[in-house]
Amino acid sequence: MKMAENVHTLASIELPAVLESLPEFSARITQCAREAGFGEHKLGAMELAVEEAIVNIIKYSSSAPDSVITATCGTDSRGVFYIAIIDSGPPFDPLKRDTPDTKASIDDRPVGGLGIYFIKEMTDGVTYAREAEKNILTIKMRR
Amino acid sequence: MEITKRKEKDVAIVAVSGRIDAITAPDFEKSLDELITAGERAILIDLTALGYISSAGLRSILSSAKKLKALSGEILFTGLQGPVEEVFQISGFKSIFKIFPSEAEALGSM
Repeated sequence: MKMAENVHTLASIELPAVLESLPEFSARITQCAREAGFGEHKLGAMELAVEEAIVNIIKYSSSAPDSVITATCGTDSRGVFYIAIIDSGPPFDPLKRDTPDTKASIDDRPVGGLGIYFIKEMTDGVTYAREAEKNILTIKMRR
Repeated sequence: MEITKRKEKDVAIVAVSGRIDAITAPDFEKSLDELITAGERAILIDLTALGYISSAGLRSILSSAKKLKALSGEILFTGLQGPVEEVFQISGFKSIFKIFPSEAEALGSM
């Protein structure tokens, strides 16, 4: 799998595409990032981004019931950290969602739509690619 | 996630600790719904001991706040801190909800 050029993969986790897999994905990615030298604040941001990405796939991607999600983490030669969340569902680019109006009142605000916005706001970049019939969401984090 | 409920004056105080994520958010929303169904119209949520909240948690809060607002009630917050405060900031929840530095100040505003 291609995350970015020269990314050294530190861990790869494959689990069923169900909500119950979330704690293990979170724990394993957090451990990977901690070992790569990240502090608590960035670890919290990454945990949130990973949850939002995975929940998004489970909720909106109509993939087969026995499908899996793969999460990988790694660093490049400059020490930039990458998390890739990969699924085999139909093509689905979550980054195309509209940015929510965060100033709307309680009555006017739609319930939901914040997950992808959180990923964009709390990380140092997120990209979507469709490769080999897989959706690949790559989150970038600098130290 | 652990939820502790008590009543002070006419305000239902809900202290939530641990994590409100996609797995626990439905239980949190159910807890708020039970209070609304029981007739509570002012709910103060104490986030002092909450370590993590995701968009699923905010979805539960907004959904309950909408129900309560339709009944002329409201949800208030206290104990905003750390990563939870950051999520409230980014989502805009910090400006659309009433947030108090302490429980006493929240109760005093009622």
